[in-house]
Amino acid sequence: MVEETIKDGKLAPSSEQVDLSPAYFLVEQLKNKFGGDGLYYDRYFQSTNSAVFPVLMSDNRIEVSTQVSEVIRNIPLTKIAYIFARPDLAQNVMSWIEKNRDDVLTGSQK
Amino acid sequence: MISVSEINLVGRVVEILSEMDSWCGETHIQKTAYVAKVVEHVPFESNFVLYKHGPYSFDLNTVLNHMRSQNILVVTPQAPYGSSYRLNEGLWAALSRAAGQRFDEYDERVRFVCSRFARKKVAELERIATAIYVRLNFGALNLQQQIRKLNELKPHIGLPEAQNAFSEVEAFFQGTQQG
Repeated sequence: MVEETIKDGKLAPSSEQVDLSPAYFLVEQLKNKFGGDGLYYDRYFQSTNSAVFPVLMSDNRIEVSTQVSEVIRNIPLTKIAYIFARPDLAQNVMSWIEKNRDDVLTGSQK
Repeated sequence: MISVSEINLVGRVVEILSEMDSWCGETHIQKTAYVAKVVEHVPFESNFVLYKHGPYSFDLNTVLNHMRSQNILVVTPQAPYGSSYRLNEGLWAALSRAAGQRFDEYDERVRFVCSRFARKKVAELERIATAIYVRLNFGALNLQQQIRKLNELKPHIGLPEAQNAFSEVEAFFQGTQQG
């Protein structure tokens, strides 16, 4: 959803933004609403391709896995993002996300 | 090493290589970025080492993977050969708008390197980029010694191929001076 919104120009990344995940856009709005102190944004974007390993071929040559397998070459990279909230804020944060998620991610958040 | 600057510069390399009908595999991107950095002084932050197939940056590989995971870059399988990288044009347009004109000043220099590398094969890129590495890092050696040094560092590159690589490098450097 967020990718289409960005492409349509309804959601604009900032000039310093390297994270285009939906959670990033949500946490930026949450910080405006609840302040940054009680929120923690954590992400993991796979930066190395663990699918690259040596393969012993039947003729004893050693090849790179990604060179011999189209499937291995195109395994998608993992991308995970979490938003944590302090316990006293958690319920309100969850309610806010429930109510505003679509508006934020479709760029209609005022 | 994943910064707005690095993402924008790598994206421009991919954009220009694609415009020039390059295969645009990782080797094209790696070697173009290396030469743009060390010869044209384009401020890539990624550090390069001399690796199995010439100058290579693990930092740059991390940036490419980051851009893949963000779907800014799309990898297209080209069996039985390696994959090609293409920009997700919609996301790239949004990132370019966000960056404004901050990186425009490097376009001409990146374009010059791309124009020399876009249509090269992987083995040619390896030879030329490594010859540039030797020229810059073993400047005290004369040309014949540099050719032998290239062959010594990469024994699978024979002396005649090494000589040809240095001829191309010479033409490349003349091009940079004319530019």
